[in-house]
Amino acid sequence: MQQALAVETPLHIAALAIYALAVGLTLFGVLMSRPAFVRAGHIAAVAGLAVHSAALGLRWYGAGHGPYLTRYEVLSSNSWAAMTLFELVALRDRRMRGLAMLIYPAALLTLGIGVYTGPEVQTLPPTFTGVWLVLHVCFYFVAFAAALLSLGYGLAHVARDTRLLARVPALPDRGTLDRESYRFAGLTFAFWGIGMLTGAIWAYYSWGRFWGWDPVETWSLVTWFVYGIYLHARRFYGLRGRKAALLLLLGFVLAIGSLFFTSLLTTSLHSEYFSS
Amino acid sequence: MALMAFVAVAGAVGAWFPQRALVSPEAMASWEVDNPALAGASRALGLDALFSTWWFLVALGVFSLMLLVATARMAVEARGAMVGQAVAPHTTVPCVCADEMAERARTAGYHELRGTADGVRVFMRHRWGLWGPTVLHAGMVVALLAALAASALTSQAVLDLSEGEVRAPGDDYLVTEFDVLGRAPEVGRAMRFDGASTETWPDGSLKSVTATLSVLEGDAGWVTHTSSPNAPLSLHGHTIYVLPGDFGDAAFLAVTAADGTEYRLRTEFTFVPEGEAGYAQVVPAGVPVIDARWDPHGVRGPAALSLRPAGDSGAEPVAVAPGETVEVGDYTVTLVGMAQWMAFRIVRPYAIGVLFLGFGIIGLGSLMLYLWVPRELVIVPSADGVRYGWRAARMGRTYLAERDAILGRAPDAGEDR
Repeated sequence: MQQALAVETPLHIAALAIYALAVGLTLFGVLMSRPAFVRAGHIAAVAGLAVHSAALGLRWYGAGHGPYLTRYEVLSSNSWAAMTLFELVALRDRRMRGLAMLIYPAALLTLGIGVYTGPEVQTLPPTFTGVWLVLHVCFYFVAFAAALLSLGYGLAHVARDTRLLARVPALPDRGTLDRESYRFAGLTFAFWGIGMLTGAIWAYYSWGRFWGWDPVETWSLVTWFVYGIYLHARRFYGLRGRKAALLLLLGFVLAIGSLFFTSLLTTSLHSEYFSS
Repeated sequence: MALMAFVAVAGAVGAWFPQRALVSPEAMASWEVDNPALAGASRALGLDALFSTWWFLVALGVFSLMLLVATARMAVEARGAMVGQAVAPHTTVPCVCADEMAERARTAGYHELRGTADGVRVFMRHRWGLWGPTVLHAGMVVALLAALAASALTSQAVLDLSEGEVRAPGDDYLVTEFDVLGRAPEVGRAMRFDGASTETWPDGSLKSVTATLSVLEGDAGWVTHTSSPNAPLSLHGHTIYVLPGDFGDAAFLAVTAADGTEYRLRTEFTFVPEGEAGYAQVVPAGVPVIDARWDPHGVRGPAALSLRPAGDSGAEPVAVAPGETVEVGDYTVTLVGMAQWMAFRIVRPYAIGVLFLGFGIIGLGSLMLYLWVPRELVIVPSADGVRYGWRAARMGRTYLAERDAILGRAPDAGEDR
């Protein structure tokens, strides 16, 4: 197990370096209108994702628990989820690859901060066991990835016709970007909601209460409501364009805050997680 | 939407201002000293207990009601849409036989709902998916109402027992939270704490703890049960939780003051990980008079328990073993014995099953929204081919290839993008 941990940290750093290369190639390709560089960036990102996957797998094996306890593990997992979801989307529809100029830097930044915080392994507290915890965390990983993609599509939709994005090779039309943004916001809402519910079940079995208005829980609920408001505003009030993107941005900022910062700023039952 | 926004903003305010129910009195006082203006506003507006204010509860109630109304409306719409023909046949595909197209639709999983005398044929796929939004919102209604009922009618208490100690029915708890009807949890049987076993990680930190409880079940005598984190004990309509941070060893002390007053005290140390020592204070009459150190792993010396006058860091700790009597400052202290202690949370739950059912319905509704996307195809023969109308209730672009296959034409052939 120690050997696995000894290997996973260099692998994480290698993944970080490859992602950085992917970001560089993609941005250069976009800014200089060189599609070959964008394609090379994509290949580098897929290679980085493979290395990242191996690193996370070794971390899981070496630490003896899923990668969801320390900042290092949580941020790395979130970065991995975002990259994986984006590559799956890009695999299904190659036109989406242009969005890499937004997704790759975000994933790089997330992983970079995680690696910066240090790879110390923490043992699981007694309550951090059980299938509900795993489901709770996994749903939030997917929700974060979907939120990032939704925001990326939303911002790309707003900026599609600007000079910068007009150069992006084969980026979908504004209508498609708008629809995909809506679609991934729906996915965020669903996964975020189920993540909260599984968390409530886990809390009930761990502490005897399903909801306690703990700051992390409350900010998570607020985030879910903001995505709910976005979906209803689009569906029933025709919210589109810049205002829709701004609401998505608000939702994403709240998501980042409730996932990564609230437990650090206030006293919370969730302070055990993310405590390194 | 306005109500959602209101609850979201209220929630944000409640998460921003410290809540009395969630933070210690000391932390609250410290925050009030640091933020006098905010503290004044918080007290005046009830923001320090926002989630139990009448207006917040009323807002949640109204929100539940609006959700219920919206769900009912959705159900009526879904019921109406089940019969199909929400889309008109407006586009003509030339040189195609309606029967061929119908066959391809059936192969693609569409079911023919009906045909009319003028040749209009209606097909649908995943028509139960029309109920997805209704199911999702119904789940929210069930969960929200169950949560409100659970908050009002769940009672709980903290029971603090030492090893071998028995709580008889009716005995006081350490802390009791009554439900709105003034009821406290009561298992109705004598309960005895028989001890806790722990498992630690290689670094000495706590991995798991399992408490053994015996319950006097009439003629059956003492029946033994266990409870551990994430695996609470269900007993006679109550659930008994182990609180991982609230157990350890306790010193039973007889403390005699200089004026001859004797106090019988239990001093609790929380679980001490490998390589650490635990500390507690001996508090005979509301005032700490002795600092106690519990060193079961011999980190600070050979003595497991040592005592010194409270706050006197220069004093040498006095070791004391079970049965021994020592002088600590102005007090004479006898260590009667050591035993494990544990705090249990005893909950008389209400509507939890309904709440989790609501969660399940929400999950089912979410799945229906994404996995059972209803598609409707309406075809009618025309002079030069077949007129058709097609729509997917959600995410229509995903299913254009399926539609084009039914129409018998190349993908991306034209309209309805």
